Amino acid sequence: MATTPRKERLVIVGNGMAGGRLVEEILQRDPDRFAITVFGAEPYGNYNRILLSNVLNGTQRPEEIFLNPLSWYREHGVALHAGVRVTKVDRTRKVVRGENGIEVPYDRLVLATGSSPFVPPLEGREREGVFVFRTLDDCEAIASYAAQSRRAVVLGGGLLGLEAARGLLTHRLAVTVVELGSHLMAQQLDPEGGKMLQRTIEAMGITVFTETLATAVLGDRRVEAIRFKDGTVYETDMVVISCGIRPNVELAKAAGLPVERAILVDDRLQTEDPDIYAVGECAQHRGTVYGLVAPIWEQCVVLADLLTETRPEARYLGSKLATRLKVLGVNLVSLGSFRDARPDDEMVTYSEPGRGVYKRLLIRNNRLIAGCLLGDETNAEELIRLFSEDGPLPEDRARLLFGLGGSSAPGEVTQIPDDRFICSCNQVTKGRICQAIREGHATVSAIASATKAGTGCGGCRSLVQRLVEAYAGEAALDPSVDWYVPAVPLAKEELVAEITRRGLRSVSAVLQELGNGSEDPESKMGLASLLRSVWNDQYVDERDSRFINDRVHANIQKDGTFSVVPRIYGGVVTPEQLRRIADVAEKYRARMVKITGGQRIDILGVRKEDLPAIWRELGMPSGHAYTKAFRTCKTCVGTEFCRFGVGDAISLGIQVEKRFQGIEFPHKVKLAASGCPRNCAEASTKDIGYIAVEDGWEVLVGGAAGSTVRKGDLLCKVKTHEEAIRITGRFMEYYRRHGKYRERTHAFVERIGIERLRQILVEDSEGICAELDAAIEEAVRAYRDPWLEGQEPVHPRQFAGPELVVLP
Amino acid sequence: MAEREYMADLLKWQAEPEKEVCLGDLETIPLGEGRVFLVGTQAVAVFRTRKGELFALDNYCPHQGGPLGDGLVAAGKVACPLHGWLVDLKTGACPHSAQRVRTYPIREENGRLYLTFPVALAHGPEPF
Repeated sequence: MATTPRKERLVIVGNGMAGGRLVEEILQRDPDRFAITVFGAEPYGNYNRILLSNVLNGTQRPEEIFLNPLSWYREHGVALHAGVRVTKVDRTRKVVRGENGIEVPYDRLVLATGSSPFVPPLEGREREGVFVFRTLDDCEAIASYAAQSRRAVVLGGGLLGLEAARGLLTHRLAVTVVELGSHLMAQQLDPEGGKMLQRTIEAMGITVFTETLATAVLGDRRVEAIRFKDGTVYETDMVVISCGIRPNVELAKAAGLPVERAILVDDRLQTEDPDIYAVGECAQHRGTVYGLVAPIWEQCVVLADLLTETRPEARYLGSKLATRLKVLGVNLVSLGSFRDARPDDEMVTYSEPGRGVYKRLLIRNNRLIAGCLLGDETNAEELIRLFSEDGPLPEDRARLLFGLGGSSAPGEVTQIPDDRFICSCNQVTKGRICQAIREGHATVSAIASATKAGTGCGGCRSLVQRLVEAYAGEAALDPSVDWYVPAVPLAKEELVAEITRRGLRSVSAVLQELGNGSEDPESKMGLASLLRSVWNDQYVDERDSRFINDRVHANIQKDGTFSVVPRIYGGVVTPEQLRRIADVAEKYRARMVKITGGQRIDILGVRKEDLPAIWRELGMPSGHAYTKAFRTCKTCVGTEFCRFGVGDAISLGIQVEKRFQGIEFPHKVKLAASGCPRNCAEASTKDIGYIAVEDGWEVLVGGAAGSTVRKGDLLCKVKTHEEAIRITGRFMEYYRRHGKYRERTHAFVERIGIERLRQILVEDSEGICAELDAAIEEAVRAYRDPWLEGQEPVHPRQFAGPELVVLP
Repeated sequence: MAEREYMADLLKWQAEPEKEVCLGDLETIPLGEGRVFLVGTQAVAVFRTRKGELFALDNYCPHQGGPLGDGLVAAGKVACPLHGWLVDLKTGACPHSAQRVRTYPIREENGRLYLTFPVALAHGPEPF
């Protein structure tokens, strides 16, 4: 007998923000895959719990905060049991049981049971007038009781407590906030920030007690007072408890699932039972239980990807805590936690009590670890981005606190890159919003419906508005920022692909076939350099596309003479070489002989026409001091002689320099090898640097010590010279392929990110390492000393100086 | 330097009698590049573009006297190798400077180059 295949049965326990979002994400990916049943203890559709405070303080009506009203579930074929608490999960029969006796079988089960308010052991808490503040029902109860009260005490000085306090203020009560700890909002603020906030709140008329513990509620039947630990009695008419939340784990515990502070899940949000998952406040992932909306939504996205098999490789790896909120109308941005602070971290603080402004940043390794901005959210978007992306910070810390211009400045929204998150809560990028605008969504609300941007904390809505103003009805953005050179309208990767595909081997050919009809010196030079890296020695060398330095392989000086720097590997020279250098300098009347920063010798002030003879008599190859290529690998003495040496820096430096000499790159590349962590060769500020440690070498990349100073990032540690050379080659090849023309490695490494580079080059996440190794090997093989053109010039007048003309 | 003294007089050109001077073979100039000829004391940069055009200018950038002959040619201009200033090959005009670079008529015949040059300038002091 034929049967239609049954849909997989998905049951979700919990209809809060996590459960509701999960259903949405699943329906978006595969609406027909599951027969979905949702149980929610509250008798409503799914609403935005964050906005409850607005309901309490009267700025929004309950209907306005619903995300998915009851009708939505019907329309989407989701069975919702609203107001039915689940009492048991039977893992053997794979059935979920509701308090009304209903039993629903499941193939997959998601627990999104959220949290409940923590109620401290207060004597007398059963009196009338004591409330918690978690649900819509709580809101209504508090509001109606407040109508008959004059005074209220809020227990708990965290975000929720302060929001409750504000709500009570609007009901015209005299409000007192009682906090156990030393300051308010201990999760988001440090003591000074907390004190600043307290002053601001007190100025609003709220009384604040810190370091105070309430032990009992007093009164006959209704609340009349509370008693503190020190015995004082404080009169009041109602008490709102917001002392924290505790994850709802009883269901999971009873079902035998491992629970610590919350239900344990792995990177797939799966519990010990492969058919049972958990998301949201009831889940504990890698030791963290999240109470903020953005991480929870990230979890829902990953779980939806996994359940629908849209992205089976999706994993949740944890979230960085960045929140942006208004507490009692005061702007607050909170990033990470100051409790992670270590003694040698950099702390930048700005405090302006007169305006109630307090800003603090915790910085480590030039990355933002934690931060808070209270009272003034200038630059909030930029800081949130730097925090979430773990980006390097500008040196001028004041700019971080007071404005970097750029994306925050008016009229510059067009400069924001497409992959930048505009809405951090929902992870909506600028590109996505622009797409929505192009699809015809031309208002903030329309964009909110289409993309969810602005439906979390709402802090980005003004920026979304500016994007709408900038892009609605406007032509496309100027794409030329991505082009490799101005004359060819293609980004580097595409340009290389076209050059390879069409077999274009000369600058003229590229300009002719791919150019936009214009021509300029930079384009010619950039393309010439690109062709050399693509084809190595197999290309048509149009010398007129080269800069003069690359035509004659020497560095032009301000008076039209040239400088000659022969190669001195690893900075080690022999007396015999020194003699030759001296002889040549004298014979050709060099004006100066100078030791360079690259640990070699520069002969300055020679004539172009003497270059071939100079090279011949030096008998040393080119040091490439004049071009965008591998320059040097400086060394310190290392184990060869130094009493502190741990590694043979000289040997490594010479090997590296011999292998990679003259290879061309988007810009010059300078290396160094230090034989011990004293780092005498300054390897940490080099494009690629090696520092010997006890059992090998640290390989650093992206350092710089020129007009920009940057410490290199650790790419990896290796044991042998061979490994160091191999990873160097890989990094070099990757830089050749993906670096922009004239982009130094410090900018390149920052742009790509050291984590990503490590994944690609060390862990081989893209599977291209073998290819990179082969490509750099080919470049090494194809290398030819350019000074050999001294013997075999490419043109009889390659090095010709001014030619005297016979006059009539 | 003789060339600098010459530049000081640039705006005070007089109608001088001119003569044609043969510079040698066209092929001495690599395609797309420039080469410098000393005509008397004056250094003249002669350019041969990929399209086959010929231009001749003083080998002296109005910025800081850089050797234009070693520059890179693109779209009818040469970029001075010292700081990249662009000089129009036909007119000698440079967007950043009021001074024009002096240009000379130049032509090719039977593979040889002929430069038209003011005689007075050609017989200056001995080149260094």
